[in-house]
Amino acid sequence: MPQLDPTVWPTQLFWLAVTFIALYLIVWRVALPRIADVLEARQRKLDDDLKKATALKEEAEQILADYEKLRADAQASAHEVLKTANDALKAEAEQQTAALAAKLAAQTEEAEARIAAAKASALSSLEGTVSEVVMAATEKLIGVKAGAQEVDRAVSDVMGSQAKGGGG
Amino acid sequence: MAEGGGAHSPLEQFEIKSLLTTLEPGETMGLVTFTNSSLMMVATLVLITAFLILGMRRGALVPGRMQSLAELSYEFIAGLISDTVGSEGRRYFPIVFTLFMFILFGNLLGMIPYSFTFTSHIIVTFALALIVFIGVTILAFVKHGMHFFSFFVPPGAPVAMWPLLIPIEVISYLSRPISLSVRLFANMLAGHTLLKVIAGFIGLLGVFGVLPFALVVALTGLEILIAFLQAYVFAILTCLYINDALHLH
Amino acid sequence: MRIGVEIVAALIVGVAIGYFLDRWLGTKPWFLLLFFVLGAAAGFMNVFRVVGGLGGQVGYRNKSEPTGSENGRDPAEGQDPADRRNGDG
Repeated sequence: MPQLDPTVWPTQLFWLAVTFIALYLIVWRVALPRIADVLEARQRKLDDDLKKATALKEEAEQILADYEKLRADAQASAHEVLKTANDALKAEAEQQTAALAAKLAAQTEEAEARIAAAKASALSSLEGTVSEVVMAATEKLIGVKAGAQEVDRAVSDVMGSQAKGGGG
Repeated sequence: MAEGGGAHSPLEQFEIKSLLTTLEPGETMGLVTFTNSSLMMVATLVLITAFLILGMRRGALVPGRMQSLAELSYEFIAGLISDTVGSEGRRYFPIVFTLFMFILFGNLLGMIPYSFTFTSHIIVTFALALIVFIGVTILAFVKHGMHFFSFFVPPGAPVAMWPLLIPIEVISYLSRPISLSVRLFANMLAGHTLLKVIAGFIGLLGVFGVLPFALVVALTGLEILIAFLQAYVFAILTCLYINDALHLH
Repeated sequence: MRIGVEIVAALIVGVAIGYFLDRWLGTKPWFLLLFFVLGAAAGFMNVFRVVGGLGGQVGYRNKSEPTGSENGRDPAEGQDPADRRNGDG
């Protein structure tokens, strides 16, 4: 078996030593550091990107929270405004209702006063008419011409008591 | 061993031939003779260097194919070391990486038809195994001093058994370089010899030569797997021995 | 293959030690026999450790080290760490 021929051993050992040591130096000094650098750079970039992403995410969340707060505030103030407007309107409505009521009451009073006045004047003119009728009637009935003042007095007595007692 | 026809022995493929000089009859090879074995070793060196350096030339953050492969080999061995030795093993990363790549590429280059497998020589594998063994033993001495010898006392054994157990443990420890080298050498030797023998039948059987041919194709695939596997086993055992030297003593 | 190699390696070491002790001390063949036996025992202990058995490997006191990863011809036991390749270029 050629492997067991000792004459070939020295040359194999020599070249093995040369190539192996050369390879070791190259790997140790050049190849591995280069690969390690690239791997490390990649890992660093990943970490950086990840950190940036989390920072941006937090910022976005912050903005969202601010927006929410703003919206809630706006909503609350809008509510306030509506409420005050509502109250103002209600107050004004009440005011106008009261004014109207007062006006109506005044008008009713005035109307009642006019009615009373008209009633009074109607009554007084009625008295005159009744006096005339009574004078004519007495004249006709008993042929006596009563004195106008006596007739007026009698009529107003009767009408007065009748007015008091109920409608004449 | 069976012959494939003619006077060729399947072991002829392992002969060391001088490439640049012709030997006189009776003259033996010198120290610096450039042989087929030397050629394959230099080719291995060149290929590994090219693979690593050219692969990392771009150094892009998103790697291309070659760069991915180079980084893969780096991370594979780095993972191996951190799994077996832990973080202190970091300093031994270059030697383990060199061993792994050298043996791997050596094995794989031998699969090329008409090339030579330099790992099929016991002296080469023994030298590599000795590097590991002596390195690890020196490491253990440097780290633990004379306490190193407590390694050979199995835990929990009664003192009466020591005269029996300690020589056995010593023999077991000393057998490490032997097993490391013989394993690699025997796998390569057996694989290539088998291939040669089966291939020898292709011509003999005429039409039925397709069967040995198919077998050779299948065996080649298997041998490529074994090339990877043996490099891996060598590397992981080296890591385990380093771990032994650093801890557990 | 792995197991065979372990036994053979230990035997070789044992026989070598025995042989050289015999030559040095002139006690053929006793040391040779003794160390042949010891070598065989060491070989079998190596096999036990490879197969993941009794006493733990030489010096493996923690018994936490991987043992199953050294079994001869099975394809690599998924020791592939940090697989973060993202596709071919």
